[in-house]
This record gives sequence, C-alpha cells and structure tokens, in this order.
Amino acid sequence: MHILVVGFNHKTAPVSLRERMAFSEDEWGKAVTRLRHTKSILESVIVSTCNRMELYVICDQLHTGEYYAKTFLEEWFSVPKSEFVDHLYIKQNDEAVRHLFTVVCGLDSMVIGETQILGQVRDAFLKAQEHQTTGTMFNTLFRQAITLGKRAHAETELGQNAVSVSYAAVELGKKLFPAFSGKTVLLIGAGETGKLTAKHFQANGADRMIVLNRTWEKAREVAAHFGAEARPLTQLHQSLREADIVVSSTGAPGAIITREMIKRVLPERSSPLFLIDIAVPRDIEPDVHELDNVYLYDIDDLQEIVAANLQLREQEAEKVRRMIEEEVRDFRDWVQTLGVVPLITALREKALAIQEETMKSIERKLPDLTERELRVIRKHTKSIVNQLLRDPIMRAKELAAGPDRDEALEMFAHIFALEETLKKQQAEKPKQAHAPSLENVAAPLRHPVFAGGKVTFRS
Amino acid sequence: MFAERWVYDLIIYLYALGLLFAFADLLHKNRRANQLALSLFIAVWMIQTVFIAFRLFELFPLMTPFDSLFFYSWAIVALTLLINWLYRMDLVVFSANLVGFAVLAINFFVARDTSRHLSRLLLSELVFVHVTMAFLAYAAFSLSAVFAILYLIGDHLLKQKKWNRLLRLLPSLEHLQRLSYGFSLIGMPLLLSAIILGVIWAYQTNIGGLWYDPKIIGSLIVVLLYAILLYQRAKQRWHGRRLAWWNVVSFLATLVNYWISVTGFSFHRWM
Repeated sequence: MHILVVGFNHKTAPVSLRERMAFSEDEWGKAVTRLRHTKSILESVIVSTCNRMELYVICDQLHTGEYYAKTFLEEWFSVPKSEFVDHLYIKQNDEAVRHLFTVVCGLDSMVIGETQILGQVRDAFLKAQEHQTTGTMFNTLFRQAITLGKRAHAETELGQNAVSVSYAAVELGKKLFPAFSGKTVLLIGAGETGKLTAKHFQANGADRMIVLNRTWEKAREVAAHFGAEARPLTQLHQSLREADIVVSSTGAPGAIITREMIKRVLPERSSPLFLIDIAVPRDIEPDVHELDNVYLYDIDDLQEIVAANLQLREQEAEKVRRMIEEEVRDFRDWVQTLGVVPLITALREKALAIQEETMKSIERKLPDLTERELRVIRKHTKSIVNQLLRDPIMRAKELAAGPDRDEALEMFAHIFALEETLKKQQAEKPKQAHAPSLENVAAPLRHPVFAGGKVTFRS
Repeated sequence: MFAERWVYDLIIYLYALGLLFAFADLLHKNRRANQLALSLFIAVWMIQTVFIAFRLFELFPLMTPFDSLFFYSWAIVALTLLINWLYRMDLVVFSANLVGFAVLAINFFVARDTSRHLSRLLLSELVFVHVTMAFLAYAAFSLSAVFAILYLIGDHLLKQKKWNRLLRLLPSLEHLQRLSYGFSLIGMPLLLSAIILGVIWAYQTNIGGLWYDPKIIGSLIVVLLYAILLYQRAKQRWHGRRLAWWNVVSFLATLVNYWISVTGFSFHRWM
C-alpha cells in the first residue's frame, strides 16, 4: 500500500504541454473513475488547474502504480509518453504526503501563499468522493491536507499581503479607510494597470467611480465597463473635490495634477485623500505627498511594497513548512496504527470466543440459573475480558508506532497465539477487489501479509 | 488587608500575562495567544468589577487616589474590551491596556495609599459622582490620545512610505481619527459635568478662593483645549496631523491637571 503522486506544474512543464494535458471539467469524473479502475491503483484523485496536473493514487506497488499512472496519461490525452515523462515529477509515500500539504498551503504555487489552490484541491477531493474513487487513506489524507491549508492561512500571514501592484494599492487604501463603501474612486486615463486597480477597489466595496479621459469616447467606454460616470478631462478639478481615491494612468508628458490643485480641494474634506500614480512619466506632482491628509504613491512605491510582501511571505512560508513536517509525521503515525487493527480485532475475537465458551459451560453445569442471573454473569465475564485486554491493546498501538513495529507485532501475535485467528480473518475477507469500497481499499493495510509461513506486518 | 493585597497581586499578574500574550500575538500572529490575552483582560476586568463592588459596600470608592486610579484602570479595560468587540483592533487594545497597566502598577507599588482618614466632607454623593465622572472623562481622553498617537504613527509611516509590520497592524487612519474624535466627544461632557458638580459642592461647603485654585484653572484649561479641538473638527477646519497633535497636547494638559491634585497645590489634594 503506497501513496504516489505523478504530475507536473508550471515549474516543470511548459504551458504548451500543460494546455494539452489538462483535464476538462466535463471529462474529469470519467477520468478519475478510469484511473481508479486502472490495474494496481486502489484510490485516486486528480488535481487539474491551469498551473498543475497531478494524479494522486494509492497503489499496491510503487513501480506498477507509477507505470500504470503514466500509461493512463498517455492513453487519456493521446500524447506519447516520450513527450511528457521528462516533465513529470514522481513523489512517493512521505514525499507524496509532503507534496500534497505543500500544494494546499500554496507553497508550490506561482505566487507563494495563494489561496485558490486550496479550494481547487478541496473540490477535486470532494468530486472524487462523489465518484467513489477515494477510500480510508485519501479520505483521511485529503481532509488533513485541507484542514492544514486552512490553518496555515489562519495562523500565519502567508497569503495576507498583496503581491501585485494593483492589490498593493488596495492594501494601502485599507490603511487610510476602514472600508471603501461610500468612497469615490476617480480613474484618470485608461492604462491597463490603472483599470485593474480601479476594478480591485470596486471589488472591495467602492461604490462610486468617475472616469476621466482626454478622449471623451474612451472615457465613456471605460465608464460603461465599470458602471461609472464618464467626464471630460476639463472637469478634473471638480472631480478631485468628490474623490477619495485617485488612480491616474494617462500617457500625458507631464504632471496633470499639481500641488496647487490639491491644496485647493483640501479645505473641503476631512477624510484622507489617496493618490495612486501609475503613469510613467508621472501624472501627479510628487510634493503633493507632503500635504497633510494627502498620500501619494507612484509605481515604484507600489513595487517596493510588493517586494516587501513577497519577502514576508517567504518568512511565513518557513513557519508553514514546519507545520507541514508535523502533519507528515502525524499522518505517518496514523498509517502505522492502521496495521495493528487486524491484530486487535483478532485478539478481541479470540477473547470473546473464550468468554462465550465459558458461558455455555456455565449454562450446562448450572441449568437452574435464571435469565437475569445469566445476564449478570455474562456482563461480568465480558468486563473481565475487556479489562484484561485494555493494556495489551494500548501497548500494541504503541508498538505499531515504534521503529521495530513488524518484529514487535509479530511477537505480539505469537505471545497471544493469534496466527490461526489472523489466517481465518484473511480467508474470510474477500480478496482485494477493485470495487472502491472503504473496506476493500483499507483491507491491505489492515491485513498482515503471510510470507514463508511467517506473519509479517506491512503498511 | 491581606485579602486586598492578594487581589492586587492577582490582578497585576493576570494583567501582565494578558499583555504578554497580546504582545506575542502582535509580533507573531497567533490566534491562541490573542484569545488568551482577551480572556485574561476579561478576567482582570471581572476581578476589578467585583473588587469595586465590594469597596462600594465598604465605603464610597474613589475617595483615595488609589481607588480613583483603580477605577480609571477598570474603565480603560472595559472600554478596550468594548472596542475590540465592536472592531477588532489588536494594536489599540494592546496600547491602551499598556497605559492602563502602567497606571495600575504605579498605583499598587508606589502610591498604595489606602488611608482611611477621609474627610467627612468628602463623604457625600455629590463628590462621589463628581470624581466618578472626572475619572471616566480621563479614561475617555486617554483612549482618545492613544488613538491620536496611533494616528500620528500611521501617518508618519505612510508619509515615509515604510511598509512594515507595525503599519500593517495599525487600523486605518480614518478609523483612528474617528475614534479619537469620538472619545474626546464622550470625555468632554463628562468632564464638564464633573466640574459643574464640583463647583456646586465647593459652594455648598464654602471653600474659599475657588476660582483661583490651580486645579480649577487647570480643569478649565483642559476643557478649553478639548472645546477648541471639537469645534475645529466639527467645523471641518482641522483634520489629520493637526487634530492628532492637538489631542496629544490636550491630554498632556489633562495629565498636568491630575498632577496638580496629587502634589497638593490645590484644595483637591487627596486625603
């Protein structure tokens, strides 16, 4: 039983390959089901976004799992293996778990700390569950991964600081205004970054926008796009009076907003005035920034903020990496304790069988006992069994998490003479089938493997 | 007496621990530290409330500087908890409680004056209401000043274009300005009422030279300073840095005014 990741991302594969080998939304369900029914594969989840394509599988053997996963990709996309294998990464067991955790936390993304991938992985997992391609292992692993992703974002500042110029402007705006509702954004010019910045302000709650442009037609076109009011550039002074946030990105050769113009509008306002100058050459005279309650940021200032935020995200990523290591350890411990389940079941079955035999013997030798008396005796003998088993069961779980678990559990089975019960259990269970039920998928984990007449435990 | 000392020490330890967790949360965002800090502040506030209630049965509180500063600290904790409940502002809660803690600590360890020699004259309801209102006004002005100082720090960082952790922790300038103004607005009528009640009491008890008393003059200056601040803000003439600096100056005047009663220049000296 192994966990395997086969895939590529924006770092290992060019966009031309990524677009050829992306799972479409309509076909995704069919693909994940087919992957699950591929030989050697017991559970499957497919994560497919514009930046990554990854197959997460539980397989009985690593080399066959890897081989069939690659074959599946070749057949599904009709792309020869030779064209994509060099771009693939293969992660196994702990490394695969670590990779999934790294992905959900946004540490493997193009923009470190982005949160979109967490939603995408969650959706992929939930859809895989709907298609019944997950079992005990992936149900636990993906739930743990999603919880970790949420925790990483809640407990660190990983995804909290803007890493694009337009978002940096919005983030700065939040240091001036508690909310953008009721604020007026004045967009001057029709530069792309300017429009994007204005759009972000609007998305963050700014409910009024004025668009000024040298060309009236262009102003109307941009205003229509935003549901804003278009005005000619001649109404600049009037518009400045109404604005709280000014985003300027014209192609003018010199400053169009002077210190004098701002000074004239200041007495009429009590709230701060935020000026964002994205134009090169600049549209707003720099000494405007010296005025009280006026804050001017140009493209360089915003880029410096982005650089500082990226550095901060890197620092926060270190904290998240430590969290990931802890979670990898926790998952490994969980997997190891799974191996002990059949042993515990066998021990309990054997003990209860003895108890039941004893009850029958009592009934034979004391036929006059009433129903109530029998019930009391049954209850108390069961209690003896349970109390006697409590410590050995606890110890068995501890042994399962220890370094010499296979030998220790073998010894445990030997001391309690559980070999026969285990063999019987193994024979009763249906042979590991392809049906994706939780029981069947977990079966290999919970069953000791008999080799050479000896009982061994592998997870 | 032993029980009282035990309560003081408990409050100080809990308060210090709360500040420690709040500081840890500010340095490295940690939800558990934040919740612990808030829980400890709530515990401090509850013990203070119970303590004040007991003192109320014992004798009118606020008769000694100890009681008054204890009440001031209680008001600070109460208001910051309220602010945090309304708008999540970790830095504000930390800064304001740092002031509250400092006052409480100095009060416990330096000015632990629990003298029972209270003047019979002071034991009147009028004085009780007068002192309560004055200290509530001081608490409101303190918070207003905390907001103003944070505004000045935020303004400085934004003007210097220093995008750092402190700036990220600060609430928006508009919010700070609004809250600073709001607490001045609350403090002003409280202080005015306190002065009016105090004057009525002074006339009733025939205290001479009332209008030449440094404390009265000091209080009137404080009222005047805050009145100018509120008027200029209401008329939209002042805003931003100017308003914040005026607020800080007004608060310094408030501190000097309090100092007058501690030093005994006035008939206001504590018994």
